[in-house]
Formats: sequence, structure tokens, C-alpha cells
Amino acid sequence: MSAGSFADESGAMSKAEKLAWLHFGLLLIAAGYMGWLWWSSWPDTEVLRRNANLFGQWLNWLVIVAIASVWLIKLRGPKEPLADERDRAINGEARTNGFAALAIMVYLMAVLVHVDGWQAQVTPPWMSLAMMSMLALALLVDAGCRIVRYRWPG
Amino acid sequence: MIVPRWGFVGLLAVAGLALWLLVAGPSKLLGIDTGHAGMVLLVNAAWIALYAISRMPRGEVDQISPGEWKAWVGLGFMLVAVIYFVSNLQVFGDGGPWNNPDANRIGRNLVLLLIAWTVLSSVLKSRWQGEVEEDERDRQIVKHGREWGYGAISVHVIGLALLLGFSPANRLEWASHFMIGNLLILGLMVAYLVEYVAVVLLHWRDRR
Repeated sequence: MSAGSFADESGAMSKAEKLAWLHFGLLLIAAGYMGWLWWSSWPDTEVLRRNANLFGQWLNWLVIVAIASVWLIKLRGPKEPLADERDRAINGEARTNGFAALAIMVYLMAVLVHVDGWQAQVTPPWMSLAMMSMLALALLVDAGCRIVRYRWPG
Repeated sequence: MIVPRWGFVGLLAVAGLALWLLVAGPSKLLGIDTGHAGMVLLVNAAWIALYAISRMPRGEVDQISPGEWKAWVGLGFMLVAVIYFVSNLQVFGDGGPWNNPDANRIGRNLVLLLIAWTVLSSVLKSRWQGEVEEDERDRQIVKHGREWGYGAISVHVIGLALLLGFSPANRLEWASHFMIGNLLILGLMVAYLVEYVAVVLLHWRDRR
């Protein structure tokens, strides 16, 4: 199915919901990639520095895909605003959940870095990758909550 | 009124002295830990001020909603906590949580502040007992404030990740596990501070 038919056939789906699905998909890829890089590189801590170019290129492509998709959704859908009052309420609730998820992960990491036995392996570059994974996960929670609220509004 | 208007000026002076003891004073004076003394002074000044406000006759302070009061109290405590934490950040460079008495002292003072915040919030809350404390407008403002907090912690995490990920190893000698752990906690504190600042500003703008 092309992006155009996706936009035309799904009349019940608002632009904001399509954007939520798009965010969720892209963030799933991002969180999966970073999580995989993070765990698979254990205890190699220089993976981020060594793959900086690859990481940058990959991130650039993700941003280009995101911009192009948003532009397509805006252009091809019916003439309606990107977000109405309900969408804004859902976005606000999802961001609150994303914030809570990130706060919990940051707190857990702040506690776990003190665990004896980890400290020799958990070096600053590895922690850097862990932090980026946490951020991607929090954004994934944010997008996931939006989808849940659109699909199951009760 | 329990405290006259000039009394609030006196309380402000005591709070200023307490803040100086916390941030810039000597670590010990006459054998007393000045950080701890500053925290006790500050908490008492805040307690007297909030108790006096909670006993004020209706109408004097009622144009400020309970949600806004809560945000002001949170802003005050979080601002003091962040200033205190940042001014003592260098002590987290050595050792760990189990063998760094200076860090433990700062942790104890911050816990004291947290307990005082909880107690004082409940004192202030008693003023609105049995009344509606939050309406739709308050909830919207809190939601906007959280979005600001979310943005602040995200920026902090990205900044720290880039710093740790791309700095040469010889420039990361300061980055002990204890320091990084505490920088993450600082990020959380700053996020909540930003949230309270946003909530206070949004309430203030709404009242004008």
C-alpha cells in the first residue's frame, strides 16, 4: 500500500493519529537499534565513538524519513488542522507519561551506576549510549500512549 | 494577621542568611555544620511564613489558587535544593556513596529539605480543606508545566550523553560514576524546577 492510499483510505484516522503511528514506528526502530547496539556491545564501551559516522548517517536518514512522512500526511490528507482540542489533550497526557518514564529511568540509572562490579565495565561512552536509549524509550512510551488513547479512547 | 508585614521582611532576611550559609558560608562555624544550620533556618523561616499565610483572613490571598500556591512552594524548595546541590557539586568527584562523608552530609540536608517541603505543603493544604483544590484550568497549566519539565530533562540527558560519548578520554577524568549518577539526579531536579517555573508563570499570566 502506498503512502497516498494509506492517507486516502483511512478516513477514520485523523492526521494526528497518523503522526502518532509514524512517531511510534520510527522510534521503535531508533530504540531497537540503540538498545541492540547497547547490549550487543557489552562490555565494549568504544562502540559509539567508533561508529560515530554510521550513527550520524543513520540518524540523518531517520530525520529525512520523518520530515518527508509528516509533509506527505499534511499534504495528502483532507483539509483539516493537524491537531484539534482532543488531539492536544491526548498529546499532553502522553507527554506526561513520557516524562514519568524518563524520570524513572534516569533515577534508576543514577542508582545503578553505583552497583559494585558494574563500575569497571560501565564507562562514560557506554553510559552515553544508555542515556540515548532511555530517551528513545521515553519517546516510544509517549507515542505508544497516544496510539492507545486513539485506538481505545475509553 | 499572625505576622505583621514588616515581619515578612525579617523572614526574608533570615532566609537570605540561611541561603548564604548553605551556598557560600564556611563549612563549619563554632563546630556547627553551617549547611545543616542554614537548612534548619531556611525551613523554619518558610514554615513561619507559610503558617502565617495559611492563617490570613479570607480574601487577602484567595485570588491565588491552591494550585498556584503549591507551585510557588515547590518552586522555592526546588530552587534552594538546586542551588545547594550545584554549589556543592565538586564533592561528588571523589569516592562513592559509602565512603564520602561530605556527599552524605549534603544528601542528609537535601532529605531534610524534602521532609520539610512535604510537611509545609500539608500545612498549606489545610487552608483549603474540604474545598475544590484543582479545576480544569489548573490541570491544563500543570500539563503544560510537565511538558516544559519533559523538555528540560530531555535536553539534559542529550547534553550529558553527547558529552560522555564524544569527549576524548583525557577530558573525562572528572566523570566518576558517583559524579555521573549525581548529574543525572541534578537533571531530574532541574526538570522539576523548570516545571514549577512554567506553572507559576502560566498561573501568573492567567491572573493578569
